[in-house]
Amino acid sequence: MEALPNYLDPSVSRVKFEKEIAQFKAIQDEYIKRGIWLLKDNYPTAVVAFAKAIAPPCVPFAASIDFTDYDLRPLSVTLINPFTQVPLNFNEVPTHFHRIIPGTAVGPFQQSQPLLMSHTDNKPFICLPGIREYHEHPAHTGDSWLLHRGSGEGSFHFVVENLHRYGVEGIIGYHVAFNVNLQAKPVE
Amino acid sequence: MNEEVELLVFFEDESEPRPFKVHKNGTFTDLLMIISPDRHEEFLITVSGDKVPKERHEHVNGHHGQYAHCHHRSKHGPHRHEHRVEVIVNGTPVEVRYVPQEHGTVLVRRALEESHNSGQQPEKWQLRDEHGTLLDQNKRVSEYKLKPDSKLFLNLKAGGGGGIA
Repeated sequence: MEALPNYLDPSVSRVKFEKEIAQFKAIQDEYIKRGIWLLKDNYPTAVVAFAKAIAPPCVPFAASIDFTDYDLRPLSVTLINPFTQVPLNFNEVPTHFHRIIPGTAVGPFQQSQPLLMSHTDNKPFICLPGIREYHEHPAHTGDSWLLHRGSGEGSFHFVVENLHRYGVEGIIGYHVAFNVNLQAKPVE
Repeated sequence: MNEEVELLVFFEDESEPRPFKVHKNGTFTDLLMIISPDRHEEFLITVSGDKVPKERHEHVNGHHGQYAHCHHRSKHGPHRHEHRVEVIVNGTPVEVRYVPQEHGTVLVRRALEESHNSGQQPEKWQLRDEHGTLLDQNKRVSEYKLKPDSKLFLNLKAGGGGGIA
């Protein structure tokens, strides 16, 4: 991954990293039960895998969460393969983080929108206030991170909760599809 | 001649007092009945300057224009209806007392107060149980069917984002 430029003394963001990781670890058993697994925490990056307890259980993705310049800048989220830890392309992410649009009809006509977006480079990003990729997107220059900073939005807990909510909670099972074709052998 | 006595009452979860009027022959029980018709027995009133709660049969006359404080009885000692639940507020666990008849909004406000989360309005928080089910804060806490070891999660609602489906 590309190294991010530093705007903030790393010792400041390291203290915030250690504080928020300690808060996470204080209730880690609760997170584990819900399928939020902290795999690594080496400043400036924390790697969290997201799992769903269906049968058989699945681990659809992990996220590399970067604390560089935090919290002058928001946390940066890169979705990665939970095994190889290689960043996923848009079409490799098994869920597109669909969220119900508030106020729309309930039931089969309920409308949703994907929070997972990408550009022509096929790199996925989560389009949600509190996440760096949202605030640094040219379309969101009117919604500065500094309007959200310190309010609870964008904390490590906020980010992992929302990755879990929209990326995992909606998973209800496996979709199995069969492709049935006629089989024929050559004839003389 | 004015037949009513007005007191400005502070509540535990509110920063500004609210005015309440009682007939000049009314008692503090009458005032509590106006404040909370269904649950008046759960509250006590102190008038500014007094440390001891007013006797319920005492007349309000003579306290016109004074500030009063409405306290939950549980803050003055154990209450037979009081329970406690662990609420994880934006990742930080806090123990919150509640009375099952209270609405979820009261429990949320108390959890935000206990965890010193004052940066966002209570309406911006979502209360969920351990299974991730969203709990209606307008329901009474008794309807949440909490068990002694239950945990609740109070998280900020995510703001608008995303693309077109």
